[in-house]
Amino acid sequence: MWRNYIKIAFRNIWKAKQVTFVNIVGLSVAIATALLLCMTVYKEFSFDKFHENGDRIFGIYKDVRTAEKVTPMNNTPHPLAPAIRAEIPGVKEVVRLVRNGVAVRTKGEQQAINATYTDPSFFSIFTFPLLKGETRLGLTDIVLSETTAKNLFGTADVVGKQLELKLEDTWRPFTVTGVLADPPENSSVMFSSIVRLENQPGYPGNKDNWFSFSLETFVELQPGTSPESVARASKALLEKYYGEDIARQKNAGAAPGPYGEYQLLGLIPMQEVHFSPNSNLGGEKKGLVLMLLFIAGFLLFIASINFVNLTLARSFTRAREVGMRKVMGAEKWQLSLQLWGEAFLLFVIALLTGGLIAFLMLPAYNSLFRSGVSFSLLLEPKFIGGIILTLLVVTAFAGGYPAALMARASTLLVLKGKMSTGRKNYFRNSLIVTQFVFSCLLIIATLIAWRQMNYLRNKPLGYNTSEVISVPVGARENGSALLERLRSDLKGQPGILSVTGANTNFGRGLDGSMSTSIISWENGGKDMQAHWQGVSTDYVQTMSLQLTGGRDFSAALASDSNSLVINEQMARQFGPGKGHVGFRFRMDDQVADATEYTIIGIVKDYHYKSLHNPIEPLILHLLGPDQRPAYIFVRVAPEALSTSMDRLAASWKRVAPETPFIGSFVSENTERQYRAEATLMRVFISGGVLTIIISCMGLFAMAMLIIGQRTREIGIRKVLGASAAGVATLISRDFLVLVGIAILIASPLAWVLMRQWLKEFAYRTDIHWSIFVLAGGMAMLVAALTVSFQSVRAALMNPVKSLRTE
Amino acid sequence: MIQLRNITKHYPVGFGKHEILKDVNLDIQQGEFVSIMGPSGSGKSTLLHILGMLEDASEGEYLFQDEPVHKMNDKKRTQLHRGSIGFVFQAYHLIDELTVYENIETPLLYKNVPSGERKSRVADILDRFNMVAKKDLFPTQLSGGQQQLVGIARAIVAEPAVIFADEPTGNLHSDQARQIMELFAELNKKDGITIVQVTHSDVNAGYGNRVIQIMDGRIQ
Repeated sequence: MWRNYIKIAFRNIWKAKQVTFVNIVGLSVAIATALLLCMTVYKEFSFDKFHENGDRIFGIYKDVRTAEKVTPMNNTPHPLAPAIRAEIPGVKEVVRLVRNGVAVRTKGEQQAINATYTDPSFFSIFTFPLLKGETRLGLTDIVLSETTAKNLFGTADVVGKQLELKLEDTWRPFTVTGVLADPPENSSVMFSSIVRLENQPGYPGNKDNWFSFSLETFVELQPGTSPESVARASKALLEKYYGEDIARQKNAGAAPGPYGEYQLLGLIPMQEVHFSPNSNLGGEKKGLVLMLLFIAGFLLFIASINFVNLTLARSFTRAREVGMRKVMGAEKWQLSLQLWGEAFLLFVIALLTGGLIAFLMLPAYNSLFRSGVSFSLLLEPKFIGGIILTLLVVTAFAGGYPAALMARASTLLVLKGKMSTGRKNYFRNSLIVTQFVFSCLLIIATLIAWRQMNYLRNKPLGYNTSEVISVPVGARENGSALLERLRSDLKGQPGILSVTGANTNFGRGLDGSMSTSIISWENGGKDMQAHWQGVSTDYVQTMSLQLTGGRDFSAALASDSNSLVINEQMARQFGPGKGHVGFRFRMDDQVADATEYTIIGIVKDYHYKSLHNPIEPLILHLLGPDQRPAYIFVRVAPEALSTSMDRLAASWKRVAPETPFIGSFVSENTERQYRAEATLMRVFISGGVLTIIISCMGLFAMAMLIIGQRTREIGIRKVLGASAAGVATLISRDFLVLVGIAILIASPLAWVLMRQWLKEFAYRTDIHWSIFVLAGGMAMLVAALTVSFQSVRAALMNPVKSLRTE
Repeated sequence: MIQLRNITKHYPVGFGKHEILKDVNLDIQQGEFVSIMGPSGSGKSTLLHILGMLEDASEGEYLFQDEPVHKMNDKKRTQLHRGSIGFVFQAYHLIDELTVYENIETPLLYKNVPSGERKSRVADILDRFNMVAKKDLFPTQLSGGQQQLVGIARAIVAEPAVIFADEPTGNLHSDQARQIMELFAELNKKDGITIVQVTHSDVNAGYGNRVIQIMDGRIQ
């Protein structure tokens, strides 16, 4: 019996080669894509699940309440962790960590690595397997990851070896005590080398400073302690150390939270850190990941729709066989099983093909979407289970439905070939409409996202982006000394207009980092808050900021160290009569000898942050001798930009031979800050293209089958004098009406969804009606082309031939 | 073997109904070769479908081997289709994707006949019908007459008590038709299979031993 079924299945597949081909190719592509996307999703959701005490580890952040909103502060100050451990019951361990680039020297050879400054409790809280040595972490000890050990020493067997780290301009010796396995890719806590927090540059000054927020803090709770109880207990702790701040919040009319608090610690379960906007180690957009899952699902869905539609349409030709089998005494379940089995066979073929495609596409996929998934994921039992489950569900839906329909139908009807596969097949048509709704949705989404991206790229930012080169200083050099060396080296060179430095970059540079520092104080009973950026002299001139009053920082005037340049928003925040050039103020009214600042210039508002955010008050201050610029900006002449870049690189090599030159034009950096959007665009485009291809493959095969069924009608019409164009229109019209309906359904849906997406941007384009017309036209055109292949062929057929076939 | 009592069949048409069979009473004994004749639309095919349990009568009683068919469930009918009833159609209705051998074998598969016995029975039939050389061909590679031979072989391989044939020679020319009818006669006489056929042709009816004339849904 089984042999009989399998034989018949293969012969059927062979007999309907074209349709089967469409089925398998469509499905394979969908399966390949779904596999890749699901691997990404699986990886994203598997983050931080490997810690043995994972359910008791929590990341810490602080919520600060104002009248309007709750502002989370992701970083924590140095003394917070010890205070939590000492004063909040139920906390077993705490760990602080911060990661930074550092220069390392082994036997005179210099390299740059990342150092994680942390507490010894790091090893007991997190679960990272030890390969060699022990996890002892004294003040001069260092623990390396396997890869780092191999990079530095050429072997992982390095326990007891010596190396030197350059901390605050001095080389200090460290002894390797242990080697840990590399952190898994799905770990939020990454490290390449681990040293004590006490070694962190600036540690003595920050040790007891509650107002400098720079660390990640994690706690491990005692078994049975709820995170809520810790959060509740943190109210008293924060009141103790931030009493003044809280009093000021109260005065400013802040609304207290559920425990009557104005500040409270928040606890993020370890496994949610990856998706948490309140952790600097996380911040991955869950919505984007879920969207990948959604796209994987609907690609499979539309490919299954093809399958259902084609099987249904072909059941017309299978009807006689089914009828005859019924006459011979086949039971319903036997018929259903046989037809489902055929679907299953096709799906298995498609699964294998799809798996192969996915395997071949993996490197390209990883580079396109920065997902870093590997095929070993496929071996996870959960993943295999998921694939099998999906296979069963999809085949049950795609093979089972037509099977059940045929098996249920009256024997006599199927024998006479009167299956309900006529032109008025609402089920089939609604499936085609569904496919094209998805296609149109994605076309519209792509167009809107593309317009928004264009808008972001072309909107004037208020400063010069295309002629300014930004260079990260790196960990090895002293920024202020380097800036001076570079200034004198570049002096008088052609094409170089001016040079400056700052402690924050524009956009995202080639070092991949972004930073923000915000300062708040009270001025005349009013809460003030502003972005606080340290810059070097000639900053306004170099960046081509537009002064509405006052002047740039100048090297010639020593008094500029207490001078500030502010933007218009800041001037507005000061209020009338205050925020003008020459205005003097102190940031701390209580302390008599607090620094008095003078506003020397006001610049027009410019977009120093990405266009997601509105322009907020900004204060530029001059970097003091002990504050070093982390970025150097060089303004070059607009002609011969690349020559100037080369000239700068050459000069850099002369003044900082040990640090590689990773300069880039600011315009590249500002574009890089829309990475998430660019990825989303790629997802939209790829998803859209695939959806359209698969839908059209279905349409193509469907047209072929329907025309096959209507051969006689077409022949008769031609004999009666219908023109070829008339026949082609007749056939195409039915399909195009369906696409038209799909456009009407998709447009409002897309409008709602994309408006939501656009809300993420403070500056955005409108959704113009022409987008819908364009998208609809595209869908219509593609569908018409697809169908016309078949309909034109049918229309040109010799009527005598087509009549004879009946 | 077959007893019809006051069988009526009608379809709803608009607010009324269209009667196809009216008060049909019919007895067919084991071993008979019955031909049902009548003009187009007289209801002879419907009668055959009711006899073959492919359709239900609207009213009346039908006893097959003394069992009431009108009270049977689907399962029981499927059992009868597997074991006691064979069908031969005008359009052959062979399964195009299966070879001659496999087509004949299929009813035995549904009847759960063990593999060894299946082989010998199919081989016997092929031998008897002189089709051994054609066993690996597909139906489309055969002439109409040969296809109908396969159809009959398939109908009798499960050794049914009765064969219902719906214009079995309708698509064949006279030589082939004669061959098929002779085969029916032989099956009837030698194997004792009851045969009920629908036919237009007096020649074909002549092979049987009883003719039932039907006109406007009534047996004359």
